[in-house]
Amino acid sequence: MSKLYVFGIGGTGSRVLKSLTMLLASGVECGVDTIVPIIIDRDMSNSDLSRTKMLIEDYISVNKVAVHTAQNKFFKTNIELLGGELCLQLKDSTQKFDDFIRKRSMTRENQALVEMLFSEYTLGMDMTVGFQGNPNVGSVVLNQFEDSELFKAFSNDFSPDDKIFIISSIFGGTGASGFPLLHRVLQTPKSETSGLHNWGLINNASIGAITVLPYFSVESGKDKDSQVNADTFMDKAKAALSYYKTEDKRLETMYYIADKQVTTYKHNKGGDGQRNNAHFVELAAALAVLDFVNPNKISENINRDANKKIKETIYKEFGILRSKTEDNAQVVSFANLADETKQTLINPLTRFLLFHKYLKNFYDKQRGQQPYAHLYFDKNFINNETIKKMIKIQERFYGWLQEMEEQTRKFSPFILEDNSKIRFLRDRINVVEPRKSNFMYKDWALLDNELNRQSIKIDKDRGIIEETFKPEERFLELFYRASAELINYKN
Amino acid sequence: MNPFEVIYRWFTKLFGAELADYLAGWNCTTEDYTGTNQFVSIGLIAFVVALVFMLVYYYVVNHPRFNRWWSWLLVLIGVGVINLFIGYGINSSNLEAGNIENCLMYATSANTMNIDNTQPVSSDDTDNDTIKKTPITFADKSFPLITKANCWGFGLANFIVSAMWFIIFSLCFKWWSRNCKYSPF
Repeated sequence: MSKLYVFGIGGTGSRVLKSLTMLLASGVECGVDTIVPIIIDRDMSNSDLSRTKMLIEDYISVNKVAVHTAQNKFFKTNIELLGGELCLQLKDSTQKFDDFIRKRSMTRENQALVEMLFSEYTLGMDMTVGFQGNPNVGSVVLNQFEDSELFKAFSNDFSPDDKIFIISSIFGGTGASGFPLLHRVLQTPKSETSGLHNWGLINNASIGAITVLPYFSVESGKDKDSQVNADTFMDKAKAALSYYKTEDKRLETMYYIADKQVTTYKHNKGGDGQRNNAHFVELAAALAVLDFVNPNKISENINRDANKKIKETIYKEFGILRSKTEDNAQVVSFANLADETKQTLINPLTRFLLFHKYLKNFYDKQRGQQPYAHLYFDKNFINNETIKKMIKIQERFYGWLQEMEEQTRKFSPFILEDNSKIRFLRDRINVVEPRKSNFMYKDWALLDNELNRQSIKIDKDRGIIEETFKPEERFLELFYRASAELINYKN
Repeated sequence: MNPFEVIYRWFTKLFGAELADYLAGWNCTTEDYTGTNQFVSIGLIAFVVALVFMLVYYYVVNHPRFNRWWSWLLVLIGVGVINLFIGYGINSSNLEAGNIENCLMYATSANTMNIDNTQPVSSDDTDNDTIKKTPITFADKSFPLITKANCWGFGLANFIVSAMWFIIFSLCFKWWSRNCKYSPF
């Protein structure tokens, strides 16, 4: 039972974790049994974080049902919260930076030094909404990970085969400062009196990380108080990258991702207003997490010598293929992805979307007519708490796909709006392959037929008299099997 | 009695005893059922048509959009209508070809016509000795006992019988159908 502890730092960390959760919900293969997400963000009220938190909590509820299924892969990977907490709460909740560094109690000389290092605005900055693009502030304030209860729980929970992955952006405040800081803490030995058990295991654990380079911009100039200036993103990224060179041979695998084709968001200081639409870069970043724990890539991702010291850090980037008509594809679909990524994404995303579209548009009408529902799913079944949560996740999944479609560089592999056709893939990738005997079933009747067929198979597999699935378990198993039978892309 | 005949005889009121006797193979000369029993052939056709339609509905078409109670009813009506025309057609063509013997086709006894043949038939015929004691038999071709209406009546009976077969087959064999297992209920 190996675990991957995924630290998501800042807003980008939360959004990548959201994408990762969407991928796991859709059944993308994960090389570990359990993912343990930990979000580090001082701005606890930002919408990106709260959306991710709600999603993960609902996922965990559905996963409790999914673990009892057989062939089903939807929601199959466990997501576990340490002590029921997702966010690493920093003990200190001081509002202003100058209060945090106790400037007033400093000597005059030190105060003068502080004023040289930080601007007046920075010193008076409200840190409860994050570090607003100031990694220099973040690196000071975030330096209190180890005091938090969640961090202690992480240390106590860590086992020998477990791995760590860190997600951060390089062009903001929290992520840019949090990543090197966290990495340093994780690899610094501690005394036994620190209360951090298994710390030796953590010191020697395999660590992967993704650093997200600028992929969006913010409007500047409107908010005079704003410290965030999109023009500095690139410079900050360059400066941070030069510092990250020191991480060489201290990490197993380092992933980088960026997009020059940026979407410009309205600037929000943080809090409820910080709600960025999902972006393909976040999806690709989530793929990096899965790549790191891919059992087929252990020798590629982890290079240690006989003394278990890291021989070299592997650096990886993500790219898309040119489209037929343009070098820089503005609309990314599955056709623009490399074979390996296609293999990873097409089946799970398409199957899960098929499940969602059917459930939303056809289930109510067909439930009373189709044998797969007869005896198993009554009128009130859809009001089952787990099923309601799963439907909520599917709605968010659909919204997530829509948001990616609305970016400047669109990720648009599906025809989302048209629900009449079962073949909703934008590319000419034939994944719905009716058997020869199924030639007479058109569109969604094809799925109904398959659901009825799989329902019989499940009865045969489990034995009608023997222990049977609970209805919600059967529901997941049934829809997975049926969608997997219809959608089976192979390179 | 042949089981098919037993079933059809339940509906004699719909098509008349004469047609029933004809179909059962009544021979006017031998005054016995020595002819071919057509209930067997017609009944077998109805049986097979109902069976084939049931198999086609549940196992060939077997469609998730054609598994409502009304789709099943439609097939049942289809089976019934086909058999209605088969029943009507066979009898109608026999009727038109004159294959039905006169003893069945027309009234052959007085009581059939409700005539008291023990009474004098004319005013001159008052001599009791001349009164015929035996019933007069004649064939009144203006009152045929088997008409097109009887053929339609038999068609309707065939409709009902075939529908019954279809219902029985449906209840017995629907359980192994993938998409129509619970059709009509």
